[in-house]
Amino acid sequence: MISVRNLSFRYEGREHKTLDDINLDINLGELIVLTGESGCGKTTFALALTGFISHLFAGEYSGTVSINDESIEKKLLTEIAEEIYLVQQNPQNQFVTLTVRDEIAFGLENKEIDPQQIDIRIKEALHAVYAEDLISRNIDTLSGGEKQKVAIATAIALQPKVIILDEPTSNLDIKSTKNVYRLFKKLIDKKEVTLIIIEHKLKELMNYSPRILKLNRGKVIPLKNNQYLSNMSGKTRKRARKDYRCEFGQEVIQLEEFSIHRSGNEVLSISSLEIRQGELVSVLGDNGAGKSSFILGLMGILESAGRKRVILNNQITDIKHQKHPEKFGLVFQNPDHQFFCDTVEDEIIFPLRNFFPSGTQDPEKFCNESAFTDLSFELKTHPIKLSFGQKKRLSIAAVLAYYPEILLLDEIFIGQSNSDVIRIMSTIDEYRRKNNAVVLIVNHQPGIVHQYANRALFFEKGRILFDRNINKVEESLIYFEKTEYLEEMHAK
Amino acid sequence: MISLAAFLLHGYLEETVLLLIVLLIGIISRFPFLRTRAIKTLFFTVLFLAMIHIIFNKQGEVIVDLDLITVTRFGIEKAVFIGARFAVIVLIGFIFVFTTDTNVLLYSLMKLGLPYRFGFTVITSMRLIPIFGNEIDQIYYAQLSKGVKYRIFPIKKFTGTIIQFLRLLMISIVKQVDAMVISMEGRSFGLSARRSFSREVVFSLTDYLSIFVGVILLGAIAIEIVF
Repeated sequence: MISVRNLSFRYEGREHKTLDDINLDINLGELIVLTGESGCGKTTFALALTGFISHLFAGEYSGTVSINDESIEKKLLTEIAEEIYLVQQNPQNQFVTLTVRDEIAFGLENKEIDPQQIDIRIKEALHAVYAEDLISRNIDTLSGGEKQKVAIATAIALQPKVIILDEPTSNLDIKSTKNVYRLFKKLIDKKEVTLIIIEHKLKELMNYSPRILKLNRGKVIPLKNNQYLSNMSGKTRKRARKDYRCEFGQEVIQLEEFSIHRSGNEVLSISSLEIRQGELVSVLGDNGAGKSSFILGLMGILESAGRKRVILNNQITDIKHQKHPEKFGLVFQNPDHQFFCDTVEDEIIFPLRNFFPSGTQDPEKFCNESAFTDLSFELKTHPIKLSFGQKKRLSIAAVLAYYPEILLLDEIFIGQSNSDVIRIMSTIDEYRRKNNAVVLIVNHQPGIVHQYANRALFFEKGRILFDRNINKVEESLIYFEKTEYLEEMHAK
Repeated sequence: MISLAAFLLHGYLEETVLLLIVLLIGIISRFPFLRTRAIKTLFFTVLFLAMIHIIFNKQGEVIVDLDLITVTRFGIEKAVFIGARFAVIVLIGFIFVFTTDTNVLLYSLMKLGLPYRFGFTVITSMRLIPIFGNEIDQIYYAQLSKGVKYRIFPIKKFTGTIIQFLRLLMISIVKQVDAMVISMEGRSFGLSARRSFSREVVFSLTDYLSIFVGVILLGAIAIEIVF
């Protein structure tokens, strides 16, 4: 059905080919899982299969992609769209209308399908994703999981022969991820459509016996299912877990009757919380539970009410709005929002210079001494030209370079492969131990993060549902019936 | 039609009656006069415009004659006329925005013949507003967390900070638009000059009644002007 022959592509201004002489055949009804390190070119490959690379992107393109023996390079994008549809990584970015109904109807209306038929297809597509109740909702009122459902419903309604899903669960919490896998099962069971899923979280998909392809240095390599599983095992490590209250130093963060309001609504309310020096805290919860507000409130970026004290070097500080940002190191989920300089080396020392004008740091030495060795080869490169994984590491390196005492990491593992997550976690854990720093990590990867964390905070509806020693987290997840988190914790 | 009527009328009494009609429309459509902040600004602007006419218009019969200020009947009539006209045009705009779903309006206009590319230019722009709001927040938070301070002096540093911010915002906008282009092209946008519309916009009795009242009002004004 899809035939790829000698496909190569090099982006304009880049030295290396992102896709390098790829040959591949995909049949109707197949389930393909495409995996690989972050930034290896998976999205580029998806864009090439859908014709966008050959039609819209500047660079050196060679080879052919054919669908049903017709070369897509000679077809219009609107014609290619009849056969193959790409659900992009972030559903938020691909919606073009204001309501769920209009969004699903958009592609069908462009094809001048009869309005009555459109109504039927919208209902069928929403039924397929268990989201009939969303039909009248505004896009902006949807949660992350609901947006992903609508994005998939949009694809189903168009009835293409091939659907490509680019990291469909990367922006979702664990519960929504499980729901999306439930949808895949339904699509896979029907065998009416070829599914190509770009995904890092493969464990769940293994149940459907997919054909696994790995993209590495521009080449597509077929992997056997057991080969993937053996690759994954042994990369996690066990560590002794002790009660955090005994092991760690003095209290660093104290919150009492702490609350945050946004647009007049209370988004976070914490009656009491203490965090000690040297703790590594895993912050869990569904999308919209108040985790990011908690991090921004601690930092002082979002204004909060109540008592908030930070005790460092035996000095007690009532932190008001943005008074001591140098004590904190905040890393956001999207690295692109955090680069303000033209080279990697300037970016590494940018916050350091802002906080401590006389402070010095040799970026090359810093990169080599920490786990950012790969960045030391890119010191003169513009941050925007780095791969996604490198961008993530740069955003963390720029924070660690000024040695903050409290690290606040907000969903930094989005779009990262398990090996990237492990690599980043090792770096952070090493930094924590060396500097006796406090680390709070908002994450949806408890399976890996809890190998390092000593404590977990679980947020629900703007409140802390439970605050437990890492050894007791399982008990609490069972008690509060958060089985999806439990399964994720056991995922290797 | 109301805005058109406001420009066609030339008497202060007629303009006042039109203002009362607009207020009545506002009350019927449950426009939150007291909770709309802009109403206060409108009130003071109308007062300011009226005062200018009262103070500076010296034509006609003198009602009050102080050494510095002379108030004339014509000045007061002109103040009422201009104040009422301004209030009518602004208020009817507020009520229009309050009572009309822009999305529904645009789909209806496209169904009536507005080229769909224009219609979707507005719809996609509206879609981007909350996204950019979020992007602006994220970039600003990232700047704060990295010790960037928004201080006007020294000017060179302030300009640099603003440029940093705008540059990131531009990159973000371009990426967002790229994703939207892929999404639209991937769904055959622009496949042909026509497209079908599945959204049904139904006229209610109130809509027909409003059009009827509007036509009567405009007709009456036209008759008054002609004869």
